[in-house]
Amino acid sequence: MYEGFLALGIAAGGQLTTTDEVENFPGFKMIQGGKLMDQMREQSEACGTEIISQTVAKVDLKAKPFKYWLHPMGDDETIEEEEHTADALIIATGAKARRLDLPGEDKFWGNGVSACAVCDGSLPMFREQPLVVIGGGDSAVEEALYLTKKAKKVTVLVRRDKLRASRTNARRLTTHPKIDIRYNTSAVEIKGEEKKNGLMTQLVIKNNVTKEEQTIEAKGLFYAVGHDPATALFKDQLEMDEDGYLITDPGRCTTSIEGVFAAGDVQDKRYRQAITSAGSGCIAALEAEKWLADQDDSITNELEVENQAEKSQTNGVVPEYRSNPLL
Amino acid sequence: MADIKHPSSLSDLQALFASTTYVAVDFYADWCGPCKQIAPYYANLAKQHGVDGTLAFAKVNVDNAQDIAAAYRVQAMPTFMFFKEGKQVAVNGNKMIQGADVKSLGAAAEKLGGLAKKKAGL
Repeated sequence: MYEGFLALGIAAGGQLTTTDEVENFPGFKMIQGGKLMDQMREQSEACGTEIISQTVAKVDLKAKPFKYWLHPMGDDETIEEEEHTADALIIATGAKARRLDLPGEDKFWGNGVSACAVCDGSLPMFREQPLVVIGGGDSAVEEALYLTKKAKKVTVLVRRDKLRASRTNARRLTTHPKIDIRYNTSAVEIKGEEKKNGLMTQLVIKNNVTKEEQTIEAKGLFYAVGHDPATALFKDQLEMDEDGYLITDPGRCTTSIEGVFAAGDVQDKRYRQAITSAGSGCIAALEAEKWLADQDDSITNELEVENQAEKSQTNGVVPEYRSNPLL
Repeated sequence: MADIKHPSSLSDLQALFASTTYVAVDFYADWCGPCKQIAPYYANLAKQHGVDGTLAFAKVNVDNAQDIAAAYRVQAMPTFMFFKEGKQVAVNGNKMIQGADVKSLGAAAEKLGGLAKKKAGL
């Protein structure tokens, strides 16, 4: 298993390593996302998985066996010469929180701007400070409420005129005394100290209806504006939807290429839960195992010769099995 | 060859500065994924380049040693800083390294290792 070395800037273990508490994974009343991933890794290793902390740089799925190449650890520009091959492939590269590419974003990234309130929100620099969250969905609500524990005030910028979050979540947000929601509002520019490693101090915001711009005090800016699946590696090789998610056969995790399976958020933009990903991971593993067994000629089945249906010679004649086809 | 030091307060760290010429510090947190990923690499650098009394590799848990984190204004995890005789110094032009940047960290450790070996007369 290639866990990657900070592939796309996320530690191995993916989004769960930046999730504070998981409350809907069966068997755990509550568990830290990072801890859950540590335990999954341990379990996987105990089952004999060889885990390699390198990121896959390139794949070639045109012919079997599939070919792939790696980045040296911590170096995403170089590609190793060594060619590796695989008979079957399970893709579980996940998804990553989106950025907005605002002016000032790069300069103040890590100095006030973050895509993860739960990871960075408790840093001393944010205590008792005014903070801003951008987004109107459930994750924006979660992030904003999390930040209220330490912040002085949290302003939530919602692009449209209403929240996209569930009704319960929306109510939690609108009734919170420390939260100020600005509808029809977008961020325009991040401002801050000019010196090197200077901190963010202000955010320019704009009302999308009146076009009026305003500068507000903000020591922290947290994005909660959706996710991008990590599928650049498979572009033009596997079928994807308009958002770049891999298209799989529902309930089977098979992709447009036989022998390539996909599991987790990389093929799921709807549920995106730790448990649904674990579930599709299990499906992909079982399907891959079955597929590999089917490819292996040395595992012969006595019935195999017999279970072929006779091709109907004329249209309309239902083919007949001489024995039950094996599932 | 030297073990990683774990100063748990500002005075601990100052004691380390007093006893060791060069000190590299890894500011980390238990819940930080990138910190975890680079930890084995950092441990390896310590083993490879550490020289008792001359170059120490330390790890500071920012949640447990909040006085250290505040004193050095740590803003991201992991952050790596370098010190000579207790004063923060830039290595290879970097005042600090933010993030699990293997390349820069490796180069910085090598540079410090070279300086330390020269100083220790190895």
